[in-house]
Amino acid sequence: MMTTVRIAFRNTRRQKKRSFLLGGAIAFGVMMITLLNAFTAGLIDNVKLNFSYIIGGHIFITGSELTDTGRVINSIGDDDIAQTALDEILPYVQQVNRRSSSMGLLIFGAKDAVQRLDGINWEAEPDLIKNLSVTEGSLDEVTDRQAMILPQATANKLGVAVGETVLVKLSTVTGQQNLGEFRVIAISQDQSGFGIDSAFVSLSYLNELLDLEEDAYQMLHVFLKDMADMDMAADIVYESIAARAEVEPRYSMGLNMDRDEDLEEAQMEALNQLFGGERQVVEPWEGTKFAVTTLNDVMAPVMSLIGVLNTIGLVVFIILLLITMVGIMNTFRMVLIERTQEIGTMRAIGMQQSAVRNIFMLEALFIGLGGACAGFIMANIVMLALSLIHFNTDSALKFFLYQNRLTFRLVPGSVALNLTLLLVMTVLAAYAPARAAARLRPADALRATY
Amino acid sequence: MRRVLLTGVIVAFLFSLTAQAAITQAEIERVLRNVDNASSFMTTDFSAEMTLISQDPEKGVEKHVVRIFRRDREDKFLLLFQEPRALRGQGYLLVDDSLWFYDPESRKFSHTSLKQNFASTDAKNSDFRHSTLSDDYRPVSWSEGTLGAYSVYIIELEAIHDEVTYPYMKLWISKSPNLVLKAEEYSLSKRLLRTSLFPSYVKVGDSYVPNTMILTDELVKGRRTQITMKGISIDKLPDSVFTKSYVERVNR
Repeated sequence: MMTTVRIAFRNTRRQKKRSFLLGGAIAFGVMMITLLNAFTAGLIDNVKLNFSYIIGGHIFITGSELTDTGRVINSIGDDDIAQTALDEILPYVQQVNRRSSSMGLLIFGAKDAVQRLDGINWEAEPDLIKNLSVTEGSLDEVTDRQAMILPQATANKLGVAVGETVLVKLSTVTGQQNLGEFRVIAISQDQSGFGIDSAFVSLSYLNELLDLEEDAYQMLHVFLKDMADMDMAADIVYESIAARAEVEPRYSMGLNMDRDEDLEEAQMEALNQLFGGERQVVEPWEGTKFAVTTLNDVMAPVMSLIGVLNTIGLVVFIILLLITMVGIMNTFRMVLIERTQEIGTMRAIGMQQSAVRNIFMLEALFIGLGGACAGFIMANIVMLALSLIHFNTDSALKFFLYQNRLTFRLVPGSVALNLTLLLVMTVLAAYAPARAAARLRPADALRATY
Repeated sequence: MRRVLLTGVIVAFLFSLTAQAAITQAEIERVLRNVDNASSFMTTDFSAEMTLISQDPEKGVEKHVVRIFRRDREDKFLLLFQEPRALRGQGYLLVDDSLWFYDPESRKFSHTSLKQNFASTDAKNSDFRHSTLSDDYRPVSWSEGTLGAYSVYIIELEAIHDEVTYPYMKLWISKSPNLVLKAEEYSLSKRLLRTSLFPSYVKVGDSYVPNTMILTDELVKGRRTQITMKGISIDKLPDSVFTKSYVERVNR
């Protein structure tokens, strides 16, 4: 067997130019598909990371209650039920934050800006103070009731500086108009990377403006140690809550290709609950009705689009491979003609048919492997070069970047699939000429004059 | 001198108490009911064309033309955008206590709130509903005074429930007939948010309609919206006007 391998390897090196061109075509295909897969994987990571910054977590537990007048308000009244559910996923949990939030109109002089406000219990979230990157001011007075940490983009839009007071017009949980006054103590750097960060304020003051109890909250933000556990942990939490209280059905926000109106309505309800929109009561309930949403649910449309992109990439890769296969097949047919006498000699001195076939197929395999390795290395060089580029953009493109840079992540499963596909197709392409070579009769081969 | 001043203050205070005591709460509540009755169309339908001119120090001037249809006895209204062209076909439909917004682009209705701003103006969606002051608010203090040439009741109101946009209001109501001439609308934290002026009314049937309204945002200096009405009619409207299918097909 070793002799067969050695001869195949020698043959590969004998025609360097031909092997290089064939391997180059394969390398180009491998480079492109590896780049595309790594790019989309990095894209998903960045979008998830940016989204988790914006909505502050991986799993979100929201609650809704019915008022006497039949209005739905977003609030978690029964803490025990949610807490019991969280206890069941304790090993996976990194941090749990209890927050209220609202969209408010920030007014400073004649300027205004719509801004999401997150009410923070600063004593319970010391990590946020540590992790916040402040460009102006300080967090010394963060526990001040009317203190506000304003994102840079909003501060620029309003033209407000540290120490100045902004008015905030917002709606209470029942929709009434309310007005608060906040003093900007610090301006925070754009954490999410695309200028839609939350402004942080005191939970108790925001609750007062929302007309909630001082120690109430609207959402549990759960950060997990590993994002990969998200769906599993969310399922455990959902089952636990469903056993004790009313729950909203779980809906993924995935693409609704069939335009199912019921699904659209359900998706809208779930989004409204997460982002505090106007909601409708279909059937009344008592106590707190919970909803469990994950980052993956919210991200589903993006994931679906990226899935489509990957599929298109795979199809293009297969087309490239098919073209390369035709090239390999033609090349090996020529090789067969060139080496007819050589094959006749080898067969005459005792080489078996299977060994001749194996030499051809191993030669194709070596070219395929070489091309794949070169393509993989080239893809990594291109990835490294692209990830060094710093994009100075404030557009929606930032949503897909991490710290203004593209990131790439190699997915072992995808790499293995692409390589397997490549090697199988390369060997298949060489199979027909290899079989023809193996079937040559030694006497005929030795007599051949071409 | 100080004693004279003190006496003056006490007398003024007692006088104001007397002034308030002179008008009973029952009378003020009757005034509020009169306002509701005078500005509602309970036996007829109502339709008109409204022009809303909004001024904003940042965005400049914007004009909206909206067709309004009201059936107060069933608590229904329909607002259909005529201008600007970009909003043409959009509509707000209030039926069965639900306010629906129709977007002709997506051909979808979405649930919205009476408490939200109407388009980019200073008007709230609730401003186009018929008046229900006596059901929604209780008077907490009142006095008599003048507003320009008019003798008015000045009434401070507090919301009875949380279904209203503004939890606190102060109204200047003309004595005869009882019509709101000026309103100050306050937040839950009792900060003045908006001042509304109703300088002129027209009598239509047995009711009155303000044909000009000036809504001033008290938080952003220079922001205000003027609403004028024309083509007012109290002719009966087909029942189909207050349906989703009408909204969908009217601007096709």
